Amino acid sequence: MNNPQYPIARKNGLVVQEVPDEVLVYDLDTNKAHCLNKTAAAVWQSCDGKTSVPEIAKFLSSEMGTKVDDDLVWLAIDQLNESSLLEAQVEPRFASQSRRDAIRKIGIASMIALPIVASLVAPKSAMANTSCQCTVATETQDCVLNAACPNTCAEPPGVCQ
Amino acid sequence: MLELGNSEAQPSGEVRFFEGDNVKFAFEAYGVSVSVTADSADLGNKLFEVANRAMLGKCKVIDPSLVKAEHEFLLSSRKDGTYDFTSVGEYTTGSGGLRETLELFVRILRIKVSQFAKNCVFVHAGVVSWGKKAILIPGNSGSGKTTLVAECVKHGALYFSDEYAVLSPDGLVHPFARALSITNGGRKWSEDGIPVETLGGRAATEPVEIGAVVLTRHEPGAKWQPERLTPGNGIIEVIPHTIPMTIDADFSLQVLKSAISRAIILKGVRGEASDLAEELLSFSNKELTA
Repeated sequence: MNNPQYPIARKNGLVVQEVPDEVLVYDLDTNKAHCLNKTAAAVWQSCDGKTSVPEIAKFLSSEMGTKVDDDLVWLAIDQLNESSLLEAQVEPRFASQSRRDAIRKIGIASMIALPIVASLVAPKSAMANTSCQCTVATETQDCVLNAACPNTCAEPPGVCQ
Repeated sequence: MLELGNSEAQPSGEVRFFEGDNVKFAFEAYGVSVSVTADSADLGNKLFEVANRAMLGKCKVIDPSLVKAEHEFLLSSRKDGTYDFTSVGEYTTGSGGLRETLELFVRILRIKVSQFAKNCVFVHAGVVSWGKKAILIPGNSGSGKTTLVAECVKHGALYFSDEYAVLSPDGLVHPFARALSITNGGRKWSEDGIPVETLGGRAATEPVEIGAVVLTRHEPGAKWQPERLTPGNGIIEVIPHTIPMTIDADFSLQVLKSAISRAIILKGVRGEASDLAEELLSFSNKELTA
């Protein structure tokens, strides 16, 4: 187990693409897409397993030319952790209520944007936009046309199996 | 009605192989190779004709004896006038009469091509253009994108597609200007469509850059008051509609970045499609024509 004070950014099973001021991460294991804003991306890219949270805060302070609090880094790490973007699970620093408090406190004090990791799940196939229900009348067509469903229509109850 | 065409039509290039009573032909569309074996020449000809129409004339005949196709289909008739449809290595299904069989074939062909197309990425989206910039309207089947596209066309937009945005690595969106799939008596598997000219519109012939992405869903009485998303947040909203995402995520993400990262991305609920079409036209004139 890694020391959570020295978090490591996950590398395997991810496709990463940088866009201006953001980093896109696609998780091949879960088909989840994540968008890291500039602050979250900077924290993630600093998680090398050798740099502690206070050191990351210090590094970001010098990079961004303004004081960055440890709690802001933890706010990012909590979200990266929830999104499975760290090598090892980290004990959450902020429970939901205290996270709101932390966001308020850090938000007022911070000159930089709060870290945000936005996530969306891609379906197994973008063709999979209907449920795996089928009708007797169309036999197995509903099933075979939906790449996410098994191919055989059970009757009843009319679900692809 | 799905036109079955006349039985004289044959795969151009005449590369057909007869194996007993069976006829086999192969073609390539968007870089995807497909071979089809039918148990009569007449059925083979009809299959090629509907395939070529579904791929908007982009089926290039290839020699099935020289190329091992990536996807193989077998179609055979039963004595009762229905057909068996086999996707080799995947499944066999009964497909009803000739019309249903052809429609099933076309639908499965579209799925395969949109998933495995080479050097381009298919996104489930309606697309129109105003000026020289496209507006992309991602959405699942039944999300109302055809209705919105049709209204945009009636308001003067150039038609690209009501089903697929075909994106190339240089970031351009290419026309996939099939007949618009406007509901016709609620027939579920119909390939019936309305030519864009019927709506008084025109189909695009050249690729263009994407100027805007509109992420919307219909809500009765809603007023269009969109929020503007960052490029990254816009791209992750488009990912669920990106067909090869789970097959080639690396390439898909590169192409999405190239196509969308400079576009204006708007997200919000809409009321009537005609109202939004008018707003999009006005928006395009202000924001996209510079």
